[in-house]
Amino acid sequence: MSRKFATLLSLLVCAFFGLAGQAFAQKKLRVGVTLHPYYSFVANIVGDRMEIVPVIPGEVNPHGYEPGPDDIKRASTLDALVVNGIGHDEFIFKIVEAAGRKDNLPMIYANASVALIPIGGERNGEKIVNPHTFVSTNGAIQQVYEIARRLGEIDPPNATFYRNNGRDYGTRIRRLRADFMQRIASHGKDFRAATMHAGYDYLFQEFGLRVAAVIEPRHGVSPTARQLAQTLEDIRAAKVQVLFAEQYFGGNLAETVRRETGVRVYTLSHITDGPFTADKFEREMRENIDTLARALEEQ
Amino acid sequence: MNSLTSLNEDDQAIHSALVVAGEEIGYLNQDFGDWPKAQELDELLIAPFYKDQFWSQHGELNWDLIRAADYNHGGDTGYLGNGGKQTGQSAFLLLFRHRHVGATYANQIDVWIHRDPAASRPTETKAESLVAAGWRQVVMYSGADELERLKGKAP
Repeated sequence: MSRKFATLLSLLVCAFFGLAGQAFAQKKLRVGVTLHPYYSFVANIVGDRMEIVPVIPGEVNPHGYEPGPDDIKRASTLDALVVNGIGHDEFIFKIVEAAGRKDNLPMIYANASVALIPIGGERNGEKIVNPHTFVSTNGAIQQVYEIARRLGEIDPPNATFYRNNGRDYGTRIRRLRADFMQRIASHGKDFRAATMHAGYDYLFQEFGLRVAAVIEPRHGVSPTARQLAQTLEDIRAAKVQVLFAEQYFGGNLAETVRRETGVRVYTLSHITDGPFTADKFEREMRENIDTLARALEEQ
Repeated sequence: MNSLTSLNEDDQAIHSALVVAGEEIGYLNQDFGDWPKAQELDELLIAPFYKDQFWSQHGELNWDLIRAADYNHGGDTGYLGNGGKQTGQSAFLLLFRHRHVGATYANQIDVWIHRDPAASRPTETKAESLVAAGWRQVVMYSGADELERLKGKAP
């Protein structure tokens, strides 16, 4: 082999392995998410070191969602998947099964280490688990830590990076809560609120506020005439001043309750609609906090 | 004591906050090799130690770091919250079992409650000693537990 050819060959070999190494270095793990808060949590944990894939479109209502072929295709390419798992994203189990990934897709159950609470209001003593752990601040921090820990197990070289980012993000969420607590310091002692559905029990608990009544018997399910009459009675008896309705799930029920009881109506975000963005959770939680503070200040 | 079904509203709220605080304290111990005092947790805005409206709505518990694991030999670390003013609320004990520096997740975080809100600091933190002194361990009902329940219900 001539010296010139040998040099050329070694250059080609170097170029090949260099490119291959670069391609290998650039191959990011693909982590799927089901709900908007989980997109925000994961984005703030992994930065640009993983690709985040919303499994279903952002604008659909996750309740009763029926998976399509594109959802299944997306799920088939994932390296891990972050889910709530106890409500709100039941559709994901069908998708994972249809994608043939039931036995080999690492699932990260975000609220695996969250202390669950029951749905608020009077329910004849029955304790029904509330799945809305993602509409919260402390609960969100716990989930961020759980996700960061599990992603670190799946991607050990970046485990410390994920942990530290999770801690920074958790600190920001805690600051958000503290800002609200300082703002309402002189309000809220006798605050009596009802909510249209049970989406805000974790948030209210963390803020030291009590939910006196929940209108919907289940999410998206209107009460029967008899249930509604009983709830209206409960609202009057408990001297409820404010009703928090849901921003994304409209309807005339809130207006009926307002007309019958004289409560003031405010809307809160459930953080499960619209484009998936890294800042969505903080932005909409700040809006929720502003709404809550206003409701307290105006009482 | 099941955290979902056996605690009243005040105790449940404090328990939920303590679970998250337990994570935070574990991280602080990892990062700084020391156990933060209750006042430092208040300054770090960490519920239920942070003296905000949550704290006042749930009885204004007095929190104290009552024992800290030895840096070299491990042992238990405990935070006691007592003196609550709400009717029916409990005293709380947050315990980090046999903590050694650098082994945060190999260790266990326990929450115990005492029906006497004025319960004083326990002399021993072994489970049998706590039970004998009237403390009861709270068994957290977590998302993992609910998943197991749902799987059991699945066809």
